[in-house]
Parts: sequence; structure tokens; C-alpha cells
Amino acid sequence: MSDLTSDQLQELALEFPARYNQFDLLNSLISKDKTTNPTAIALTGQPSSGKTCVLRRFLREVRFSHTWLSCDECVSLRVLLQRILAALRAIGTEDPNKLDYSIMCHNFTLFVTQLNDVLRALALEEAHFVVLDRIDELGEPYESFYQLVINIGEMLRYDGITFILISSSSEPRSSVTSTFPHIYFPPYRKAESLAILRNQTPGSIRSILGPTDRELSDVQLTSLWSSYCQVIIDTYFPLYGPDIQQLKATAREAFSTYAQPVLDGVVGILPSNRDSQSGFVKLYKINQPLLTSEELVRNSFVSYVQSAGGTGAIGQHDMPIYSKYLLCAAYLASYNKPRYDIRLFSRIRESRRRIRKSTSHKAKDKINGRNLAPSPFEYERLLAIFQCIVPEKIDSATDIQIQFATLATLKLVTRAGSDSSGGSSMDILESRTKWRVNVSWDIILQIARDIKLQLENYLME
Amino acid sequence: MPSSASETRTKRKRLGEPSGDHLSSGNGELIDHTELISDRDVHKTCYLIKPSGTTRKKAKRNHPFISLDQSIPETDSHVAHRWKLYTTTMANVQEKIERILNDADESTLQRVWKYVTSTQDYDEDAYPQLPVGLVLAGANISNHARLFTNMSKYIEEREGQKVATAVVTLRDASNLRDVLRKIIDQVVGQRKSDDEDEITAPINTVTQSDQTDKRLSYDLDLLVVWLLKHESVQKIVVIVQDADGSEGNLLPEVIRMLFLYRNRLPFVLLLGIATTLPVFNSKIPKRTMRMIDFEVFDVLRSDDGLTRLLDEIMLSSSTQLLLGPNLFRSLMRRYNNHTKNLETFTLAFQHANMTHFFANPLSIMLAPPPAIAQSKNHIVALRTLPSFKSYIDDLMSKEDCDIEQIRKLLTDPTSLVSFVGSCQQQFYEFISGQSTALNLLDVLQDASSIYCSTTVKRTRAEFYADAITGKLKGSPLVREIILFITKMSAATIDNLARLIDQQFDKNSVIRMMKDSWNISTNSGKGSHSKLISNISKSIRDFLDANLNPYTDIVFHELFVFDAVSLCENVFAPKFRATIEKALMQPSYYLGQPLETPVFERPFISVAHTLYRESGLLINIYDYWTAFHQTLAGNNDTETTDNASLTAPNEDHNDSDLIASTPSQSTFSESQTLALFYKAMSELKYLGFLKETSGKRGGNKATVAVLQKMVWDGL
Repeated sequence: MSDLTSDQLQELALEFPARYNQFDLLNSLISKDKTTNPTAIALTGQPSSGKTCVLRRFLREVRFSHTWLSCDECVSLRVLLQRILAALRAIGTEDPNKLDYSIMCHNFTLFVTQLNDVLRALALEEAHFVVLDRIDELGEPYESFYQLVINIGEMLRYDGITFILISSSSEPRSSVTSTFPHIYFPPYRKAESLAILRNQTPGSIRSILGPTDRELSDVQLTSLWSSYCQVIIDTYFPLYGPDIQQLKATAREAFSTYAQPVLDGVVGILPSNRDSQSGFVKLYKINQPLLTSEELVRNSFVSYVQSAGGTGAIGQHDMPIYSKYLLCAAYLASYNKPRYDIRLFSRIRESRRRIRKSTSHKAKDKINGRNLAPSPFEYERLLAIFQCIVPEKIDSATDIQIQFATLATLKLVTRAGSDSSGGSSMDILESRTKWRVNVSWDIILQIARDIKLQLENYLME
Repeated sequence: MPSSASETRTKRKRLGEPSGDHLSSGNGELIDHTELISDRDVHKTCYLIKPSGTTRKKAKRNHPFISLDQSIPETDSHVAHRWKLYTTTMANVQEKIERILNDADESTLQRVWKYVTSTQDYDEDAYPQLPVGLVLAGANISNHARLFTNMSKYIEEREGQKVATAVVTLRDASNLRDVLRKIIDQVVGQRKSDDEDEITAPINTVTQSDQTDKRLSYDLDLLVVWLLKHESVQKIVVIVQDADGSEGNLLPEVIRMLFLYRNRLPFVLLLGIATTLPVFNSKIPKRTMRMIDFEVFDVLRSDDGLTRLLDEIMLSSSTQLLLGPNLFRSLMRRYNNHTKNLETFTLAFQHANMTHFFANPLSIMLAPPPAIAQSKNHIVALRTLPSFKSYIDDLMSKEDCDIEQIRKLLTDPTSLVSFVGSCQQQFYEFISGQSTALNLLDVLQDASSIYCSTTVKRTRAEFYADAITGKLKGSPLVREIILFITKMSAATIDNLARLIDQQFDKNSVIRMMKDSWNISTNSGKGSHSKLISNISKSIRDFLDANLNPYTDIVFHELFVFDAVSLCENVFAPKFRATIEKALMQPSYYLGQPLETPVFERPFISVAHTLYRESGLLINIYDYWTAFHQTLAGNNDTETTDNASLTAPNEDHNDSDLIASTPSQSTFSESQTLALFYKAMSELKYLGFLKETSGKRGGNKATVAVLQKMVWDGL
């Protein structure tokens, strides 16, 4: 009953290293014959372990009739249900790309009914597959839908349709016990990642390289690329793990710079050349700064800006000085307990006397306060702390309040009690309000340094 | 009885002037902003509230200035002349300010536009990421709505049919669907009206063209379909105004959705950031960061703008009125500490100018009308100015004083006026000298910074106040710079010469000074040291000659405006002092005579007086007893007059309190109790009091106690 011969399977496995088992399983599980297919199959495995592309390739090879839906593009379940129905209704019409969206689908019952209608109208002779790609990235909770799809066979009066669920997170708890076929995609190992990365035709390597002055032969390109891939894997595998997408992106980004010495003729890379090994070493040495810099590991706006040489860009757009003080005061108010306030901020002698008292039960607090959520504080307390840390006398109360309002709009401080409890606990007429800071320690430290405030002196830790 | 507050219809209008009252008539261009900014936008520089009922009686004079008879009896023509002077000065300044502000915006808009058009289309191999422009717009969020609306207009105007734009604010969108719906509405909506003449069709129902299309309004497939119909569109620009004001995970979600559709929809995302990059960075997950390819734009380089402002307006050849050092320091302090906003700074500057012409009758002397010599009052006032007095004193103390000259100045109005004219000339020279000297200091700092990078370059704004007060003359900083000159090598001299050529006009003094050095001709050691001593001497002489204090000029009171107290309270009103004054001395605001008996005051004021007399904790019964005594104490015959209680005065407008105050104090106990409760709740609302139930005196039952929260003058 399997549609692919073992030769074909071998061929596919060559194209997708380490995925022979998965092809084999798919091949044996699903077929054109609509009576033998299960109603649902799940493809699971870590992100970027080849689920989507393996399935795509397989379906292309066997030419099964199928509908592909990317769930992450659907903002809500309703959009997904609508798209499934619309896609199914378009099967067999003269223009399959013209989708008919005349159906609204609000709930599962309606969905099943309409699915039945569609299937009756279609009267499928061969099996049809509905692929729900990335179902775990649907904008809404998808557990009940998952459950429904698994059990949909019991609710459908017409057969011939099979749902293939691709998900990279673990299965919803409610569906763990149900028995339906799963195909597991294990994460790629290092050698496998390398093989995948290397698997490029000379043409595509050339396109990655972009337009060049000097043409390299296919052999040269392949040799360069494969040694380059080895370097990339060795450098970045410990960082990204088996995340092929990321590795590929990084490899693409750096390749043209990496290959520049070869193009310039500084380093010769030829397989026939006896010195090919030394050529590679030379190339690696030239490129060491590129590979060791953090330029390629771009996960921050800031480092990018700094490396781009825009020295003035950061300093120019600064917050007003008092806003910074306010933010620091907010942080102090959130992370210090009110009972320490007198000790930390008052200059009265008396406050010093009590220090010894509380040192005995200090051992209890073991968790670093910075790792805990900020605690709410009263606005007046913030103002009091603010007065203590500001070096000069404050001349304008209005401007301070405006700045605090601005900070609140920028969500650097948030109103406590307004988000989770639905506002019921908060009296809007009350003259006192509670707030909490919404900035992490790193940023606060940076800000405190800008205004030359020794923040640590004011923290009880 | 309707209160006055409920009668007033409030009209919101964005007004660029903090002191809106004075200029409410002449701000035509600002009304445009109201059209641009939606009513929901809560961040405006100020709100003008106009009572609708009272149309202000149109004054006979056609200007808002009044005659300042208390200081100098003025004629109407004098007042009008002052107004004219003000308007001409302002028109001149205003135009320049607008240009400076716009230039800063314009260059950013242009860069953003270039970026938008230069972004590559989606390509799986080469450009898989979503192009994102990070627009650092500064912490002044009241500007943002205007800036980003301008940005979308700017791009649309230049690209026409090729670009579709959508401006969204995350602040008033609760979830991803809302945002997507807004984007789709704006993109589809704007095109609709262009193409199909369907202006009446409601824009927010996206599905109007096809009845059978029942897709949800936040489905981005709608845009895909729309894009197929509008092939001319090459970019869809989505502008998020408040990228860092979003709740939780909203912005990453939006970025993810646009990222997913980027192969079908040519999105370019522009994010408006009000905080700094590091702060914004901490809000974006790393996963999202991978999806985007970004570029940073800095909108207003405020400090550059400040330098330009100083250069072109405050110390330029057309400067009529110089901002005094104290006022300037106060403005700078506010700028650095509170606002960091060039626009507010310029507004304050304009207000200072206006105050000068409004409040100083002698401001007329900036461009005196021909008849001024006949105005005896002005002449007398001129002679009383301290700078003139000390000038005369100086003349007198000289050995060979020209008595005739002094007598002429003191008796002959015409010669005095012409002397003022010559002083003014001296003032212009002073300004140009200062400006050149500051420029020169800039250049010298630039030249020296290459060699000693540790010293931070000080901007012109930091120098200004010191320069015009003469403190910079011979200061350590200037000495250090001169010292640098004496150590210059030949290469540095060339560099300095190049910088001077860049910075100064051909005809300027500095250029001539530089030419006199004959840099190119020197060779050999001896001539080098000679050259250096030559240069340092000429520069020292120049700085010494030009960094004089403005107080050296006779009649500097006419040309320099330095009244800090007049302005500071306008820029940053002290409302707490106002409230306290209103409570302690209500007659000040109510227009009553000072010796109003206590019981005729508003009740909250009575309660506040007692409040001030008490300690930290106030027993509520004692408080009430005292309150009752104050009100009813002086009239023992208590008549029950319920009518006085029915008068409601809910709002805090004190004028109502008068109305409800009976002419005679006729209060029953229950009445005073009710009034007491009201006064208490008002004080509590103002934050003066807090209820506590303190256990006083051992095991006794709890006593109702109020805790005092506020002390005067704290």
C-alpha cells in the first residue's frame, strides 16, 4: 500500500539527512486510499527539526491532494476554521485559488456540520489531507481544537479527509492519552546539522555570495562552502543548538565577508592544490575577527548601534535628568521595604540605632530581591525618596508630575492593581495611588550611572 | 442651581503657548494640529478651556497690551507701538524657530522616506527579515502624534500610489486583533476613497465590496486580496506611534504577524520610540529580534537644535533683545532637568520676549518712535535707570569730566535719545563680538579635542550665561585653551586654520586675524615659536576684548531681559502654594476685603484653619466641636434655616461658596455637622487628612481620629 518505493525513499533521505525514518513512517501511514488513512496524524519535534519541509517534500513526491494551512497566520480560531472550510470548498472548482469565504464559522459544532456538508458535496474518491502547520502558534488557546481534530473521525459521516497536525511544543495535556499516530522528529545532531548546511548547490551558493568580480568554479565554491559550514557549525552550534534556521541565516550573512579574501586572490582554495589545508587555515585566520565578534549574534539593538559607529545616537535622545531620578526612586521604592526607608534615606541619628535589631533574622531572605517581582509603592513614598536622592532642591512640582505621567505612559512605571484585578480594587477617586516600577536592574543601573547616583548605597540587600 | 462648571462647555484646543490666555486669538496655525490629532490623544501641551456663555467683550483697541500707568503714564500710541514692536520682533523670531524645528523634523522624515523606499522586497534567500525603522522620537510624547502623522503624509505625498500607510497607537488597542483591524482599515480605507469614489461607504467594514466575503475584519488575507487589486502599491508602511507604550506582549505579536505575511505583503514597520534604545531593547524578546532587520533614526537632535537656536536667534545679528543670564540659566535648568524638549524651550523664550514688551514700558526704546523725545515721562524714567546713573557717576568722578556733555544728557531729551541710540549700537557690537568669541571658542575646542580627548567639549549653551556676564573672561577654561595654543605643532596650526576657514565668513574678524598670522610662510624653529606667540596673543586679545559683561553697556536694562520671577511661575506653576493660599486666605481669590470674619469664609477654609492649629492626630469630635464653635459661636441664637443647607456647592469653585454663605451666621448643630462632613471629605480629597482608628489610652475603645498628612510650606 505504500506509495513510494524504497529507492525513492533513499533518494529523499539523501536530500534530507537523518530523516529516513520519518519519510518511511509517513509513507507507510498515509496513502491515496481513503479507507485506510487515520483521521489525524501528529508530527512533533523541536522547532526547526524539519517537520514542515519533510512533509512538504513528501506530499510533493507522492502528489496527494492536500490543503496546507499555516495556523500562525490565523489570528484566531475562527479565522482558521473559516480558512479550512473555504479551502476545502475550493477543491475541484475550476479555479482552486479563488477561495469562497461566504461561510462564517463561530464554533466547533458549526464547523463539524459544515465540514460534513462540504465533504458530502465533494464526495472524495481519494484521500485528502489537511495540513495544520504550527498549530501550537495559533493566536488563541488551541487545546480544545486539537482534541476535536483528533476525534473528528467519530463525528464525520463522510470519510476521505485526514488532518495532519504539525506542532513543535508538547501535546496538550488533554490529548496525551488519546491514541493516534505520531511521528517524532528528533533534534538534529551536530554532524547532521553540518550535512544539512552543506547541502547547497553551487548555484545557490553563488546567489548567497552575491555579485562578485571574480568567478569561482563550482568545485571551488563547493569546497569553500563546505569548509565554511564546518567553521560556522563549530562556532555557533554551541550557541544555537540544532536550530537550522538560525544557523542558515548566520551562515548566509557572513559568507560574503568570509569569502572575500578568496575572491581577492589573497587565499587560494583549490581541492587539487596540495596547500588547500593551509589555504583554509589562512582564510580562517583572516576571518577570525569576524567569527569571534558578536556582530553576527544580533539580538540587541544597542550593540548594533554601537558597532555601527553612531556614538552620538544614544546620548542625544536622553530622558530629562529628573525623569531618571524619578525612575531610580521608583526602583528603590519597589525593591526596598518601607520599613527600611528611615534607615536608608533619613539623616536622623536615631535611625542608625535600630540597625542591629533586625540583623538576626536576615538569614531568612535568601532569594535575591532583584529576581522577584517589584512590589507596589505609594506615589507619595516615591516623591519622598525622590527628594532624598536628588542633589538639589526641586523647584517645580508641576514638572515632576508631568514627568511621572510620561513615565507611566511609556510603561516604565505601571499602576498597580489596574491590570490583573480588573480595577475593582482600585478607587479612582482615592487620593493615593499605587505604582510599581517596570524596568529591570540592568537598565536602572545604567540610568543611575548616567546621573552619577550610587544606587547600591540605597538598596537593602 | 447649576454650578458654573457644568455650564461651561469645555473646548479642547491644542495651543502652543503655556500662557494661552494672552494669545488665544492669534494662533491660527495651531488649530491645524487639532485636526491632525485625534480627540482621544491625551497628550497635549495644554488645554484651553473657554467658557461658552461669556463672549469676551471686544476691546476697542486692536491689541491685547494695556497701558502701564502705574510705572509710567503712557499714551495709547505708546502702547500700540510696544505691541507693534513685539509683533515685528516675534514674527522675525517665530519664523526662524519654525525653521529650526522643521529642519530637524524634515531631515528625519527624509531619511525615513529614503529608508522606506530603499527596503528590499522579500526574498527567502537574501532578505528574509521584516524591515523595521526605529524612530527615536524623544521623551516628549506630546509631539509624537503630529510627528508621525506628518511622517505618513510626507511619505504618501512623495510616493503617491506606490505606498500605503497606516498609523496605529498601541495604547488604545487592547489586543492583536484590534491592531490588525486598524491597519487593514487604514490601508484599505484610504485607497477606497481614491479609486472608487465610494466616500459614503463606511471604511471600517472591509467587506463592503463583496457580500459573500465574510472574512473577519482582522484577517490579513484581506490585505493580500486588496494588494492584488492595487498593483501600484509597492510598500505598506505601518507606523506604530508608541512602540514602548504597549501592554505586555502586544508589540512582539504585531511584529510576528507582519513577519509572517512579509512574503505576500510588502510591509515596512516604523516604530516610534520615546525612551532610549537600551530601555526599548529590554522589552523586545530575542525571538522577535531575529525576525527584523532594523535601522535607527534619531529625530530631534535637541542639543544641536539648541546650539542653532542660540546661534541664529539669541545671538545673531538681528537680535534685538538679549536673554539675560539668570533667565537663561533658569530655562536651561528646566530644559535639562525636566523637559529635554526644544519646542518648550522656544515657547518659553517667546514668552520671555512677550513679557518684556508687555510689562516694561521702556521696551519702546528698542526702536523709539520719533516723538519719544517729547514724552517727558519716558525721558525721566530713562534717567532713573541704574546703569545710566552709574555712567553719569563715572563721568563725574573723572578728573577732566565734560560737564557740558553731562548737563546735556541730564537736561536735553534729544541728546539723551541719541545717546540711547549710540548705546544700542554698542549693544549690537557687543552681541556680534560675543557670538564671534563663542564661535572661536568652539573652533579652538574642536582643534584641541583631537589632542586631549579627555576633556569634554562644552557646548555653546553652557558658555552663554557665563559669556555675557563676563565670567568667561580669564576663566580657567579660557586660560587652558590659550595654553593649548602655545603648545601647538605646525600640523595643529594648519588644522586650526582649516577649521577657521570652515566656520567663519570671508569678511569676519577672525578670518582677517588668521590671515595676519601668515601661517604658510613660516619655516624653521624660530619662526614657529614666533608664530605661536603671535597667534596666542591675538586670540587672547580678541577674547579679552569681546567677552565683556553686558552690564558694561549703558542702558543695558533696555536690551537685556532678565526677569526670572516674572516667567518662572508661568512655566511651572506652583499649585500647592496656590491651594494653600486659597485655603488660608480665601479673600485673596474671592475678592473680599481682608478683614472678613472667620465664619464668612468658605467652610473648607475654616476647617483648614483649625487643621493648621492642631497636632499630628486630631480627635474628630474635638475637631467638630471647634468647627461648630467657630461657625455658631458668635451668634448664640440658633435659628434653623434649612434653606442655607440646600444650596449645593459640589464643585471646588470657590465663588459658589460665597453664594451659599449666609450673611449672618445662623447655624444649627445639625447644619454645622453636615457642613463639617463636607469640609472633611473635601480636605481628604485634597490629601490633607487620613482616617485612622488609633487606640488611645490603653484598653479603651477605639477613638475616631484623623491623621494630619500635610504641613504648610513643606
